[in-house]
Amino acid sequence: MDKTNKPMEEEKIHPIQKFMDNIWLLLALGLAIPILSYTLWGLIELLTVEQGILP
Amino acid sequence: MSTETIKATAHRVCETTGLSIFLRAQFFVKINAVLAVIFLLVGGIAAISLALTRWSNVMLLSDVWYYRMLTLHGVNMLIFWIIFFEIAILYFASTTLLNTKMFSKNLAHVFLALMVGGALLTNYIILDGRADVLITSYPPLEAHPIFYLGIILFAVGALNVCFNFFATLYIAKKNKTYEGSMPLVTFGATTAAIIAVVALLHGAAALVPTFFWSMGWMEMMDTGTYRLLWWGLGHHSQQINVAAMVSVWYFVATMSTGAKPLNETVCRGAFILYILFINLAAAHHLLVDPGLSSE
Amino acid sequence: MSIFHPKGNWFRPPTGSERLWVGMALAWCLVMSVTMPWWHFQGKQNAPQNTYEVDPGVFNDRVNEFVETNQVGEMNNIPIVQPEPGGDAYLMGRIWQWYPILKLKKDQTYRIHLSSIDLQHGFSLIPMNMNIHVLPGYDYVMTITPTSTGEFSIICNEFCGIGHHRMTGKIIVEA
Repeated sequence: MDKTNKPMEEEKIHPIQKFMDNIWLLLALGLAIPILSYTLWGLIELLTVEQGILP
Repeated sequence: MSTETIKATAHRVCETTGLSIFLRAQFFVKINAVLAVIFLLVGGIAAISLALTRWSNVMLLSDVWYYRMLTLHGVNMLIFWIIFFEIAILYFASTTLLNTKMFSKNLAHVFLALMVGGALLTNYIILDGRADVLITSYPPLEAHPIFYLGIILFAVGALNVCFNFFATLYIAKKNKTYEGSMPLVTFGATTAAIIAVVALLHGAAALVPTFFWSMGWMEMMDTGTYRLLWWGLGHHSQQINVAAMVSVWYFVATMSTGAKPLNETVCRGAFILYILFINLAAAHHLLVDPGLSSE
Repeated sequence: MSIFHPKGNWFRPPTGSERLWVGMALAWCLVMSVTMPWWHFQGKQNAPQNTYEVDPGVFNDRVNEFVETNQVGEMNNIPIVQPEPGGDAYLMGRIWQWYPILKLKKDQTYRIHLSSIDLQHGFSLIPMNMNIHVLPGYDYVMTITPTSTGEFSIICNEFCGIGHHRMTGKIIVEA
């Protein structure tokens, strides 16, 4: 990207670029995915451990 | 402009790079980078003492001091060095590269004090021989409460620096201090900050109840739960380092040779994959730890 | 450049050799991501296992009862215990000892209950490279069929205080 380029306001921004520029969405996903797939899943597994009987 | 605004936006132009360095942010970039290297030195000296102990011809340390230095090494390398340096990068990438003042200088001082105080407390109590628990500090192996308190203060300070970072990104966008997208280096620093938030939240969730337990205020946390939460800190802390390091590579490549990214989409896409999916690297705990099913 | 702001629509999917390299890297990511759970279930490194909750005191009593009824010898003041083939065996970690020594028969299947009565320990079977974290409060039951005879050492691989490096144990497998 040449610095001297004038910003082209008419140009359409690709949706993936919009996603990459949206740091708030990335922050939300970056928190939600590990918390759901690691922490919450792990806690559910631990909470559902049954009482042992030691035969 | 008011005097406060003038002070907040005061900057110099770096002679080498031509970049604007905001004077208030400059202090925090420097101090955090210097502190990072100091804690790296502490962790490195501990590492050398460990190596000289494992070398059977030397056997430098007694078994007590071996575990003490192992604890010191782990905490300084994995937590203090990595996160102090990341903080330096966050302050730099959010101000100079976005051409904006920092969100709050006063808060930055408070968070710095929390981080330094916490790091000193934890190092003191380890060297004093009251926290020989290694970095993982799995309960019921118990350290002096100051050990946990120090890490908690550090984590709270660092978490709030991330807040300061995001707030700086917000005001830069709002004040239109730059056009188009954020620079790649700032985007990489944002990746590190997002992962840092995950790491520090898990650290607080594991260590705050453990601190209360060591004070006798509450029952010990379930050992499996502690392990799950602690590794949310342990793995992500290393991943902060990787994201921050790659951003610095891009920065150094541009500064030293004028290189530019071949493809912004690919560079940013890699960071995004990292934000979204790197926690798979912690998922082996879900597979192999007791309490988590594998059948 | 990486420190300046790209403007306008900079989105450009990789093409040519860049596309090839990125594609290979992505494919490898996916292979590795699938391999981790696949190896865990199919790799036969760790035995099939179930986990239950257990009170450390109750587990301690059960281990002592198991030793009383099945003891066949003693080595370095640690009882050698031979469980019923096909039955349940108990092994506990405590500072700083694996207790008792188990004597198993080759090609027989056992359910081995593993737990700790004090700190967290790490069960590491040498030279099999079988590693299991041992938590107080959790009864980790693995179904094991020894396929070779000999003496196997257990070491602790999770720091448990000053005697950690001396915490060893043994499993004996007979024909």
